[in-house]
Amino acid sequence: MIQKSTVKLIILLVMATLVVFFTRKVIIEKFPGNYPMITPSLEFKTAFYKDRVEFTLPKATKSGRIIIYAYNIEGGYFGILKPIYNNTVKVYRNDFADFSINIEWNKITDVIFLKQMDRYIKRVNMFDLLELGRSKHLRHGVQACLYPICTKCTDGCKSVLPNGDLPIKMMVMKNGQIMPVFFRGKCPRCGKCFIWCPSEVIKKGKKPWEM
Amino acid sequence: LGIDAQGFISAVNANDPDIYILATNVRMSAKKAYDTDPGIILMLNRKKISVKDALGQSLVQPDTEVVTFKMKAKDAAKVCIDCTACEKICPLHLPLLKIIKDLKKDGKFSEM
Repeated sequence: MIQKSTVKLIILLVMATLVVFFTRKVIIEKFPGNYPMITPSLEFKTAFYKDRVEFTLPKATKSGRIIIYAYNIEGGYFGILKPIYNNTVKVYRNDFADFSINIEWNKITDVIFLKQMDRYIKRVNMFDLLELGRSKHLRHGVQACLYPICTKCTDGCKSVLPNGDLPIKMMVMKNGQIMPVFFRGKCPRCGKCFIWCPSEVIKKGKKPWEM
Repeated sequence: LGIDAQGFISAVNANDPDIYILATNVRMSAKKAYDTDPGIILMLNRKKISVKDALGQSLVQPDTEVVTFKMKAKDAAKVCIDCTACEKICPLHLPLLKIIKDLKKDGKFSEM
């Protein structure tokens, strides 16, 4: 004989299963979209001249702008936002860095904007830094992601997941550039990151069942 | 990019997308600046001069990269990368991104 309490438990379990089955789309697939996909770093060629440094890219970015970065001897990151013309970016002798980033153990600790409106709070010559980078083998190059000027991908995440633990984190790569890194498990697939990304560093990826 | 968000509000208040607003850190070629608007004010050797005058006086060549100081609100909206920093920081929660998007679309303001 089956006890009454066991029957009740079985009925309860069946009902709970039915509820989960019919409402799973509402509960689980709140944003039934695609995962984002991070594009690989841009390959580029560098040419040093007396008055400028030229970076030749395979293609222009969607925004038509790119960040040129260089590290100093102390490991500080400096960047300048530059326009791209004919797949080429030029840094001239009198170009000063727009911002600097403090990095400790490959983690971003602070961002300082060096140019505020029409005046620099500190002048750091990017041409000299790039020359130094070449002679002392310090990290320098191009960064397609416009961080820290643009933080739209993480803003999109924050708007959906206000409690933190975001699936996209800005991280320092081996070559020194800062790129978004994506952790799939936490992503609700809202799609804001790849729709908002102005430089197409984050693109529309695949749906879970296509992976 | 040094674009003064308050300038967009001034343009809305005046209902004039052609008023000049601060855009102090936009880098572009002198030719592109001239094609956009010959009246764009540049910061050249710490002096302010229009791109028309700078080219006319041969202070810059057409392919020289220049840094802007002031440009029309509708042109500033076009170079804006929509980073939304202005809207995030605005204490009055003004719809700055909507204004910028309107200007980007057709250089006019839509009904608020």
